[in-house]
Amino acid sequence: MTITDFLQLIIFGIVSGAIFALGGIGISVIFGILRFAHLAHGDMMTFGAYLALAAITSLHLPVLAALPIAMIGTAAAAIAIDYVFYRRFRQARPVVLLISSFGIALVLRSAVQLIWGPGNYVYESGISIPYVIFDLRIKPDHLLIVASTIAIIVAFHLFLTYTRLGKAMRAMSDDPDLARVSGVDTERVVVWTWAIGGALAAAGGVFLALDTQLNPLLCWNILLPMFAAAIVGGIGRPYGAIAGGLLIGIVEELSTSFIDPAYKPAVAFVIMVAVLLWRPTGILKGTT
Amino acid sequence: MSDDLLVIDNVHGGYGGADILTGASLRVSGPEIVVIVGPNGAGKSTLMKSIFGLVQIRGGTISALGHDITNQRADLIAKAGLAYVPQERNVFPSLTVDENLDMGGYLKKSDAAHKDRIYAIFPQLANRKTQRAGSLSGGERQMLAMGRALMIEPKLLLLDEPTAALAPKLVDETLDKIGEIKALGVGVLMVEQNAKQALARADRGIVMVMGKVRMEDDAANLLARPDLPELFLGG
Amino acid sequence: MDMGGLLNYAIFFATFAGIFAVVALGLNVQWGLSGQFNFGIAGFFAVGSYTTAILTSEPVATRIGGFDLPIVVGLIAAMILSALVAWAVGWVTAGLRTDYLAIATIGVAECIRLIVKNEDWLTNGVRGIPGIPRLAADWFGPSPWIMLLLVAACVIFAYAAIEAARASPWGRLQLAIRENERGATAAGKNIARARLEAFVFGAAFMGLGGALYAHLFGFISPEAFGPNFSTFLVWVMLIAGGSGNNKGAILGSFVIWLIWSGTEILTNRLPVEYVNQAGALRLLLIGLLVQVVLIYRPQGLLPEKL
Ligand SMILES: Nc1ncnc2c1ncn2[C@@H]1O[C@H](COP(=O)(O)OP(=O)(O)OP(=O)(O)O)[C@@H](O)[C@H]1O
Ligand SMILES: [Mg+2]
Repeated sequence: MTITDFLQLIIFGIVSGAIFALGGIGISVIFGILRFAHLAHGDMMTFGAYLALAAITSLHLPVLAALPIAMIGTAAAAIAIDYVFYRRFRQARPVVLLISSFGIALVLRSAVQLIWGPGNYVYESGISIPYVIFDLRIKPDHLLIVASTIAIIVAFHLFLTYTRLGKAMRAMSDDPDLARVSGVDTERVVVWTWAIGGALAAAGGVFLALDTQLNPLLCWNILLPMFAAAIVGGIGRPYGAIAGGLLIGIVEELSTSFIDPAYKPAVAFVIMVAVLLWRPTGILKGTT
Repeated sequence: MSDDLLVIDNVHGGYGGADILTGASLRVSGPEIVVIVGPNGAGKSTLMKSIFGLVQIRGGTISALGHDITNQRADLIAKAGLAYVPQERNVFPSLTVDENLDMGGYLKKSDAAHKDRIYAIFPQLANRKTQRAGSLSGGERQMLAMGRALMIEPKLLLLDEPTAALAPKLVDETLDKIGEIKALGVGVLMVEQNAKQALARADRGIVMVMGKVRMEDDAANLLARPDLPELFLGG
Repeated sequence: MDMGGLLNYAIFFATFAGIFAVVALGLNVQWGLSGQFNFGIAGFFAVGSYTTAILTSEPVATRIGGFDLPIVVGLIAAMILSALVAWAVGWVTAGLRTDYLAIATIGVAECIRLIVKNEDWLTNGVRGIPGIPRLAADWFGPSPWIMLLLVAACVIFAYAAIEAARASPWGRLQLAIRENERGATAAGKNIARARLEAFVFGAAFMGLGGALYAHLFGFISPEAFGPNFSTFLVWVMLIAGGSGNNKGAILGSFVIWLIWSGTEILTNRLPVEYVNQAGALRLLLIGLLVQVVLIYRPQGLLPEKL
């Protein structure tokens, strides 16, 4: 492998890492607040990607303009799903939520297929010409994905750090009872958790669709690397999920020069299991 | 009787199994310090949790500042003007000291002047504003927990063993702080194992045994009783 | 449909439901008895299917085997291999918390699916394995009956074995671990081992179910083990029937399979332009059904008796 090939793979890894991070943050935050592994997260992303498709085809918007529509729509859908289903299981054992979200994953996936059909779509047809810098090929779409992801993550960081609600979310994932005692209406925080998780999920879905093609299994297929990102970063810690996403993305891409690319998802899986066994709190554990 | 800060009337309740509280009653009227003592497992912490809706109440009523708060949601009880420092896990470990205080003032939006007053009461916290609460020492953590609770400017403060696991020197210091808090016009209901030191600064004392209030008297009278240790041990 | 067609349909229905019952019984060991999550049922099912397919089909040049062995050998080997895979998986994952175990088992199923899809020399890849022998016995009449009989025998075998295990000291240990994991960790090593045993024991029946499936259809391909249809359906069956209750697992399999088949009759009445979407609509309904069960009858039709 030449140094150029290596750097090229790193670039691809950063792109998929950004997408994993967007999903992984949602998984991590939802886990922190609601204490369950949200198995429908991938399909929620797929749903967001299709919402953007609807906006693009019906309103003739560019992808970047369709993105906020998809984010708001998916946030609303996530809140609605929580209100109709998950909310009823807050007092139940956590496994009930696991099973329920597995069912919701199926519902979302089938709904996407019912509405848009089982076929493949792309947002914009035509070939974009990559920029070439020092023999490295960088696609405009990839730049768009990475830049937008950085913008979204910075906004998310500012929200968590400086807003009252952001602090309440962090407080609640530290200790829900103490948050309640401090006067936090935890159900309201839960609503915002879904709003943010859903919006970031939609962004991840749109970016993956932009990089590949839409189909009903689009983001179910990356559920494993996203969970791997959240777990590697220490589940419940959204910043960890960002680092975890990049790590998983880059390692997955690098692995393709040693093993059959068909086994890429297995690479994420192996890393995840290794971390679970070696350091269940995540390898990027901060100072709590 | 709306000038009563807290009225607990014949409360029964617990954690799912048998009731831990078996008819507890007490009253806090106005800015006074009321100390609850009693043997381990008497249900003191459970009583505190039940006031804040964290334990299911199966009988009896609790009212505060004229509102019925029986089995109320904790955030609404905070809204009514009560604050609570649990015995364990009473700060948000991954938040900074400053953010912990912000969380205490969650209901009041932002009130920088009040936060400065809290820092004035607990000067050691002022040097550690940006440090994570999880990395504080035991004494600092207890101060932060009290500071967090005072941020909502409560009418009544519930403290569950604020001096547990503190060095002897810090015990007195902490109890003195509680005197200062009363001077701000706040009623204090606290559970305390250091019975003598606490009663010395309190207005009234309550002895709790097996889920009930066994005895209630002026703090001075309780302190004067030669059989206090036996009462305390639940004999 | 004439009477003969209806009867054939009923036989097919019962056979298929019975296969699911075997798998649901296996899950009832892992989840109902031992409290271990497994969202990778499809993986163990696939291991069982491919094991028997390779062993019992006729030799082919393009891949390993077939070995043309008797079906019984295929069934037993399917159980053993599925158990071995479960042992390897469980050995790694035994200590994981429930939610991590859920993710990890999804990952295992995904890896097995990747292998099945990509290792042509072993599984013939996406083309699948045809020509898996079906049961035939001239002395017994048409073969659908004998397949049903075989599946019924397997259901009875699984039920009896699992009931016996449940009543044994081993089963009581499982319950004790499930109910009071924290208290029981005193003997940590034995607990990890007991959990592993339950995981392996349950997986053997999932493999058996997969093998029966292969012999029912005579053809398997990675499509059949695609993302979680079978895994999810088995979970719905166990929860609806009553996890922890073996009769419930069997009842749930038949009831849910009836509902699943019933939705097919429903979707057949859809306008033509929607017919190829029928599968998605049915999945959506099942996904909603599980929510309804979890909300209104989380203990299932036949609750566990402790
Ligand atoms: N979360 C819980 N779930 C079930 N039982 C509990 C729980 N917390 C406490 N108990 C039980 O309730 C009883 C009373 O406990 P509580 O904590 O109220 O006692 P306490 O008077 O505060 O004692 P201490 O002086 O040790 O703090 C004890 O028997 C205890 O075992
Ligand atoms: Mg206590």
